[in-house]
Amino acid sequence: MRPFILFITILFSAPLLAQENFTVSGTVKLKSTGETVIGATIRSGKSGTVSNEYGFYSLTLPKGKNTLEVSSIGQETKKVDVTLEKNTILNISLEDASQNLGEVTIKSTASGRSISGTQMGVERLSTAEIKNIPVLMGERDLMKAVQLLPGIKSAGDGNSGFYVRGGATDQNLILLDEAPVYNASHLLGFFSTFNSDAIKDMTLYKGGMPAQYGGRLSSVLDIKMNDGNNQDYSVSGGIGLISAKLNVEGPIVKDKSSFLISGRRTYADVFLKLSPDSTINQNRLYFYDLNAKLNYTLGQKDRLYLSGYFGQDQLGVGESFGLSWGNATGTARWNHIFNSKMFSNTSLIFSNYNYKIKIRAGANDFQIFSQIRDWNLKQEFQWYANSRNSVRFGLNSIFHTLRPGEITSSSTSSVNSSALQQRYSLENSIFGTNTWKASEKFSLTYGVRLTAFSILGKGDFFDMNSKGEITDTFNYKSGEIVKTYVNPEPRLAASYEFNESASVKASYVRNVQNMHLISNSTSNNPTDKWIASTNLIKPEIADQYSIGYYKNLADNKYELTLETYYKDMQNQIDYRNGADIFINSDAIESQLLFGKGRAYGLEMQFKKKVGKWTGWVSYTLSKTERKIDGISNNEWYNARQDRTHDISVVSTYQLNKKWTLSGNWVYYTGNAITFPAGKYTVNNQVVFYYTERNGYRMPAYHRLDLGATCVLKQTKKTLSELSFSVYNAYGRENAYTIEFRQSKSDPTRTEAVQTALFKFIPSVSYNFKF
Amino acid sequence: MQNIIKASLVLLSAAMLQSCTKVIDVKLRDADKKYVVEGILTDAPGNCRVLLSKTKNFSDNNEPLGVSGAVVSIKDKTNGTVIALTELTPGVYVDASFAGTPGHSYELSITAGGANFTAVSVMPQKIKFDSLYITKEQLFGDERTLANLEFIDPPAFGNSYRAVQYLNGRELTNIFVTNDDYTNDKKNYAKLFIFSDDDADKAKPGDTVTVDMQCIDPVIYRYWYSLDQSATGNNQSAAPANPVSNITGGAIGYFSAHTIETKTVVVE
Repeated sequence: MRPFILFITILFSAPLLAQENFTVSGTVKLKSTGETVIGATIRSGKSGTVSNEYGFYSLTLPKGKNTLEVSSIGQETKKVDVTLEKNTILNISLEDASQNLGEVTIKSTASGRSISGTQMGVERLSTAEIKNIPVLMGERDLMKAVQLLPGIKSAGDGNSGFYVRGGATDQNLILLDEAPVYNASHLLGFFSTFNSDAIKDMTLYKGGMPAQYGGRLSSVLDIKMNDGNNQDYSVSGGIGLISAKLNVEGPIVKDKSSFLISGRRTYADVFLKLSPDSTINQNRLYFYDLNAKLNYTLGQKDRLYLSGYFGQDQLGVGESFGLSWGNATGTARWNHIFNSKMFSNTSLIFSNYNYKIKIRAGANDFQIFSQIRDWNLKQEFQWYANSRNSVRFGLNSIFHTLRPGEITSSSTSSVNSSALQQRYSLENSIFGTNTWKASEKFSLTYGVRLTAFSILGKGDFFDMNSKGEITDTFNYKSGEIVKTYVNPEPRLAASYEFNESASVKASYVRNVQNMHLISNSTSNNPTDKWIASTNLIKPEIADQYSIGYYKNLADNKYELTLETYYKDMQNQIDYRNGADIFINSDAIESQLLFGKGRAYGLEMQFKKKVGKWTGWVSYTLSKTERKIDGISNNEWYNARQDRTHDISVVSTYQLNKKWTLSGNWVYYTGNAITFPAGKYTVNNQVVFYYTERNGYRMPAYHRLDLGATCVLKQTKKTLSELSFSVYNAYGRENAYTIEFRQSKSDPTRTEAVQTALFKFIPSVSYNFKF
Repeated sequence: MQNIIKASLVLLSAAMLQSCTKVIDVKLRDADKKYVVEGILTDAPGNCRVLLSKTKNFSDNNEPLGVSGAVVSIKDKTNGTVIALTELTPGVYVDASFAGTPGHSYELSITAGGANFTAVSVMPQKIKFDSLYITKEQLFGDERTLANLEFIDPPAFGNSYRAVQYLNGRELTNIFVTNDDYTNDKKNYAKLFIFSDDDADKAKPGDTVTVDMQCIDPVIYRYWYSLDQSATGNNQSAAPANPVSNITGGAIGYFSAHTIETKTVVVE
């Protein structure tokens, strides 16, 4: 309770202002499309604020004449005079900076890091910003682009998972319009589930998570879909080597309501069908996804949104094997402005992930099904209390249903129909946080999130000994509470501005995670298991301390960011050696081991934001380790994602009105990996002897990608362009796997064999908008 | 537009899904040598043997390093009989006549170089090997000739099986194990998948396919399962590790008391 008392004391001890003040509030929009603008800066003299995730802002200013300066990335900065005699509503429209045809953009197109404000450890990217980054097979992907930023590491070729500050891939909370996405990859990880055409904004918090977010240890990736153009109908799309996409949006009632539908499908399978070989043309390999959104403005104070996502992957080998998986999310939201200082958002959120495997081999004919489903209610208030304090508080309640595995089989099959017990849990949280601008230079954000995770019946729960053998079984009835884990998560952040161009920030956050993904393969599979905390699986906890220095140089043309962090993790989970990952038992804990982790590192980024030539260099020096009883003699060992050095160079050059060139280069230390310590013979076969977990490293990874975009035709409303890219331009054979085997050339010896996936992949895509 | 699609097609076919494999040089640190036990007792005489060896460095040759002069015995814990094995060739200890009885528990004892290793395995009841036949399957654009086993799993849970396949008398090293976790009390059809690219492992018309069906101890199922998952060097496991062993005293390997039944079929 102590943080709460502190919170209330500080809040109300804020000095009362002698001067008479009024509040100006409203929504920031784009003039061309009516889309609300997230994170626009609104300043007046020394006061300032940023628009929230729905474009709403509220700023308390002295009575009389004030000038607001409103700016946002890629938009013309706008000055608005307002005379305050009472609380005033002022909606602001911004114009696109690149609308000035014929002029090469020299304005800032890259989002700057905010020097002021207490938020640190945050990265923002917009679809416009990643437009020119060269990509694999021409498929623009925000999730891939984000991996070029410091502290965020790619899980490797053919893997859309990413690691943030030493965390595992399941420790990232991925939200699409507030709905958690449990598997963000398509085609076994080659592409992400996010169609960049439908995305407005993507913010990734790797540290200092605000109190409204919770549930994962390492990061929050908050993705917001476009609302849909409420001014004009617009159709855009693209045709690439492996996929095509189309985006349609427009007003339902101009200025009031709009819709957006965006779809994407790969057609690699069409090429498979062209093959005369019946064993190839019967294979299935494709994905599609659909984003849709509706929004409706009900007068000045209310706005309703309905958004949904549906995606599906299909993979199949003739009749004998089929694997399909997909996410579905739905969000219904209601924004309400109580008054110029109080903004409310209510969301009802649904999210679902499932996979299905079909197997037909002779008389055996069966299906395996698994699902995770959430119903989620969120209520959040933003209270712009006065010019020094802004408060956010709310609650969140999620009901999780997990169906770990169900088999349906035909009567001739040797496999029995069976179902593992469904697992139910209720994750309730309340949060409150205040940002207090203590002085011109010093700001403090303090808050807490309190999470109560209740495991509900019905079902069997177990007690186990250290070998993972069941010693006792407890049976719970439907709705009965098995256990409730209550965890307070303090969230603190402070900033000190030396001057307008330099600041230092520090933060401490605790995060708690109750949904865990367990995997023992080197790449993420759609069939990896999500499990909820149980009486034996304790909530994962991470405490992160970080400090950063931020500097803008040469009149904001360049920016330098330095951040360092230390993270302590409890209740980390891993499979036992030799675990049966397909075990047909409700006692999954019998296959697991628990331990702790630590991670620390230094991140640097130098960015050039303005001019014909823009880009950044980022470098991360880091270490991440685990210590799990039963692995590597219970000693600290490197986590698989431990990479000492990680460098990315991203650069874009606007040659002329027609051509934009781009390139990026990445280099990182190879992942930690387990190699044999020796070999022996059993079963007339040479097999390998292991002593330590992750005692070796994969070879260093590096790659250069090049891209060029050619604008074929551009008018005020229409655009057509061709994008060319070459992935892995110098054909580096980066190790995807290293295997050990009896030598083919000399069977009396053993050898190591490296497999690389992509070597020099050119692609071309055509994009249009009208 | 047409040109773009045409160009795309050409580029796609040239570039898609190219993966390249090469032998690389990896420097591996040497580790202390461990004893390796491979102990087998079946319900048929002539199969009782214990192979004792030591692990080798990765850079050494593949010839097993047999350990001579060990004292090796197997005790029938159910009736108290102890059989001492004799060393046939270096590291190979046998008894020509000893056969186990289903339902009995056996204990292997080894004394070698001042160390003692023991292991216990229960020989399961024998399940009838009903039939062996050949089917042709399409596997990733390749027609494969696969052996199929049929047997009926009994009503109680807890049965584990292993199949050993021979092609023209040569033992294939693939590990086939299954248990009744998902198939209890059912007629089982086990297909012995072979994914090897080696032509020598592919059955052709006229070839003789022989399969030993073993009913194994669940502990030994775990051994073969985990060996296959994480110690053969060619798997996608993020955490390669030594298989789950039933040997105590610090050696690796296994001791399996199992039943055995053999069938042979000629590929048509």
